[in-house]
Amino acid sequence: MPRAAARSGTSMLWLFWGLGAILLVFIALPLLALLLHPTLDDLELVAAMSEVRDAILLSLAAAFTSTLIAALFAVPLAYVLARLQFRGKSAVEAVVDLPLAIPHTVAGIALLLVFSRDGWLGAPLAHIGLSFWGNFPAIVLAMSYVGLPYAVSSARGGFEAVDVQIERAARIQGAAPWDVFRQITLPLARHGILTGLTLCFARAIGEFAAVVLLAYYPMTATIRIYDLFLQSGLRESVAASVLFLIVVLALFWLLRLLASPRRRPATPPAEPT
Amino acid sequence: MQSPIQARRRTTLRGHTHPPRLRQLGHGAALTLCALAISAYGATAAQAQTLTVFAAGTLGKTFTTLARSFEKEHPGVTVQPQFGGSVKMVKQVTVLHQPADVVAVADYSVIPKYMFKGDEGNSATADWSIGFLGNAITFIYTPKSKGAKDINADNWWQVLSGPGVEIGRSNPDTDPSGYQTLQMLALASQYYKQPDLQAKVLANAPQKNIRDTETNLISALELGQIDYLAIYHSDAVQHHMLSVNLPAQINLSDPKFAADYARGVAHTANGALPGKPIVYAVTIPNDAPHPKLAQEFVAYVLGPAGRKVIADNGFIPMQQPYAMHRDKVPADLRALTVAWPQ
Amino acid sequence: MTALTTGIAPRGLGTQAWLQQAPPQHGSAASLHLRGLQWGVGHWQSAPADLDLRPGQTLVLLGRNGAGKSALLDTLAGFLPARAGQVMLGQRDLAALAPEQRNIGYMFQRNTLFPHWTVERNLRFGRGAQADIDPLLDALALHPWLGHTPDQLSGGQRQRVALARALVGSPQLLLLDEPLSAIDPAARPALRRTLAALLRERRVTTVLVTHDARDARLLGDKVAVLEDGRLLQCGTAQAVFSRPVDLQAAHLVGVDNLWPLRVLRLARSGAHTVIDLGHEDAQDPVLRWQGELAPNLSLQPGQQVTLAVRAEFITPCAIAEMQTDTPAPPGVLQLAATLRESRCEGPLWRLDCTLPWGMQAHAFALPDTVQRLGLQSGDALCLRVQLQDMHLLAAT
Repeated sequence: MPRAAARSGTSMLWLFWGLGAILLVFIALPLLALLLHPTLDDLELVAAMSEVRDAILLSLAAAFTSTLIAALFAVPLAYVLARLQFRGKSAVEAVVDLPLAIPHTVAGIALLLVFSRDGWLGAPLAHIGLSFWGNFPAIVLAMSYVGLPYAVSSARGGFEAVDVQIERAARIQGAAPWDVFRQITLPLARHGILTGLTLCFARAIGEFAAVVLLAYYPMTATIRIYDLFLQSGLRESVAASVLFLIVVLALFWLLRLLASPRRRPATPPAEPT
Repeated sequence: MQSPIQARRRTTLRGHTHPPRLRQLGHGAALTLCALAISAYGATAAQAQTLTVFAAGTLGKTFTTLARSFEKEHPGVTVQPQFGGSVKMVKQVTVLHQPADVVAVADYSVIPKYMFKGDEGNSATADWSIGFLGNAITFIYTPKSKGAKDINADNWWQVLSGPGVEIGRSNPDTDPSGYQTLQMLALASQYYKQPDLQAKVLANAPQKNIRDTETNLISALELGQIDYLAIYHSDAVQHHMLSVNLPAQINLSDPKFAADYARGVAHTANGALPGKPIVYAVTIPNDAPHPKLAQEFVAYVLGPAGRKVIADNGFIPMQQPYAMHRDKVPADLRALTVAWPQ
Repeated sequence: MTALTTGIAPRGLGTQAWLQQAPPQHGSAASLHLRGLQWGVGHWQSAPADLDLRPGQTLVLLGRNGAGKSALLDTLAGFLPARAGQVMLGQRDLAALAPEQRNIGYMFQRNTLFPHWTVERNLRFGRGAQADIDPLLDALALHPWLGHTPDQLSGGQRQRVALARALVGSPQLLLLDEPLSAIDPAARPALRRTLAALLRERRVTTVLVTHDARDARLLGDKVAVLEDGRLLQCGTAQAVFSRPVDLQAAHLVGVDNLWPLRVLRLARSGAHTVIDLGHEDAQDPVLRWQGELAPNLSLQPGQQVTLAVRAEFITPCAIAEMQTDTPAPPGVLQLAATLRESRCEGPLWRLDCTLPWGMQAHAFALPDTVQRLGLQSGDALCLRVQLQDMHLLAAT
């Protein structure tokens, strides 16, 4: 009976697939238009340009460094937020999410306020020779600021999925908290953590406005593409974009494969008990 | 006698009894469609009397003021100015085919270069331009900049060459003020008879102090990351900043020194560019959506009200605007101009 | 007491000095003493509790859900701080020790095996790193499953691994939180028997928490009844089961027959008391109770009282055997009743009867007794119960 079929789950799933397909097409079409725009000669041309290669490598290196910083600082915070209740917790959560809401240019200005030559931290750091202006640390600073919130929230989800009782079981077996975290919690939260780091990397490598305020030279890929657009025009800037996209897409695919939970076929038990 | 439930079910059209959830879905869909229709109508209605203006970043305050007063005199009209690097704004028209009614650039040669001829294989997008105001290159600084207490019109190049001084400038490959700064420094080397003046000053303006447009560096100056910023005199006035009074022979402000200016050459990725007086130019692209309204706006800018706002913002308004390809300029505007002097 | 020596941390443990005892052996169990211990979660807190367990003894903590049983185990394990009082395991005061230092095994109610590791690695973690696990694997039949991960095992197999993991490395105390509740009811008896055998053989001091009275009967040397954070009663299983201290405890230990009656007449001679009990406002007694009253129970005529009799202690017999004019055998009470329903429950039959004064009585009978009596619904029968099995409780 048609009405009975409509009430079962499958028609709902078809609807969801339909809506989801529209989203996928929406994302894929502009990417496809971009990927098909340059010819192979165009791609070879920009790949031969050393400033394009350098810019892509710089973006990869800076985003990777930002992700390492996230691993070092965001993951512990995520664990604390996942496990502890304390007064002011929602304030902490709001602060962590703030960089998501600030316009990117404003984020850059805010970072300048703190890290420029005369800034709150920039002034004392300048005494030990640390500068965050027009150099690699400046790029990493801007990229980290916009990428860290993603790392925290995703890693937190990963930790929350680990049952506290399992950690307790490990403690009572005689393991100190550090070993429990290292051997039990981290491997079980791996999916959430790696997703968070991937998102952080993605956000970091695509950043423009916050980076350009702090460091125009050396040029990251996003800035070099913009510069190419102004200087050489559409063809070269699109070709450079496509080259950049191919590198980044390949990297994301690899990271996703690494992050996916290991699936072993669950064999049914032979005995009833 | 019907039960209330039966009565409710019966009231739908043609006797169909729709389950409640489907009815909710139908209501939701209808509301969404109404909302979409209203916003679509609103969007097209807004387009009817909206003037799109692409202008150089340094024209920000000026053109915003002019836009608002133009709207007051023309009720029902909205002026939407967009600001950015001159080359970037022009390319939005020539390459990205974004519709614009008025385009104004900080260097008049940008229009012939990209718009009179086709850009990147596209056809020409404009046939004429009108130079309407002048500007001067200068350095702005704050009281806490290094050497701020001692700097004046005579020793500025010595102060700027000093140790530990950080100077900011824009990218000479993509931005007019960038190459104009280089031209000015080349002229200064000749003017003060100091052959290494340009090199010494530029040593304090390395790559890390370069941005795509100079306005991006104003916050860096205010925050003390840099001490001096090569920028236009108009920006000094608009941002209430201290600035150095450079001699007219080198600061590209006076068209009567045009021959001298040509001796200051900037070496950029786009080749060797000889100095020219800074003249901002305006045009109306060929496929502007509202050409008549655009002409009224340009006339307004060239007129007495426009010139007052221009002067208030630190620019040098031209009493007699220069027109390039004057024969192609629309008649109403042509009357306000003289031909470009050769 | 074996000397404590600091040794190098076994594989899988942190760099802090691991206080290691001499090689573990059966019989290294310790005694457990609770002195005024108060435990709690959030705003809830228990009453002070005193408890003593000899080494190798098993204490079954019986109580409803929410009585604070799991919280007590968590406090003993060190996951919750004790609100007051003291816990001594052997000679050690546990208050100063972190969970990993207490040398306690814990079997959790939910599956808490490490899901990303094989059974073998689960057992080899922490305390089990150098331990001899073969006897445990034999006792729990886990050899075939060593290379499997928990998601490949059934519920019962997982609980057996959890039990092995709790026992590995011979801890001084074993804590079991509802060890059988996650198991399919049909599989419980087998695992209960395995657990009982293991506890007896290894002689580990054990605290087992359950709401199922059957676990208490089979596994506990001592049974304690916990209600709302208060230890109501603690004693041998026999004592707690047949002589619950009050009505709450009676419910918890599964006494089926709880008859609310009224004291009509009371006659004392020394320690022996004879009480005539009546039903509601009736003037005639419905039965006569004789015996030694519990010291905490002081009764007056007219007072409400509850008579508790375990269903297992009531035997059915033919109504013909009950002659009103010949005296009943000494120490035995006979009651006439009408059978309402008989049901087969496992190896025994359960008889639901109605007493002459309207109350329900439950009895158990062997299958051949039921067959011999040939009773149908509505038939009259005689219920026999020993006087010593009839237990008086306060009314509320």
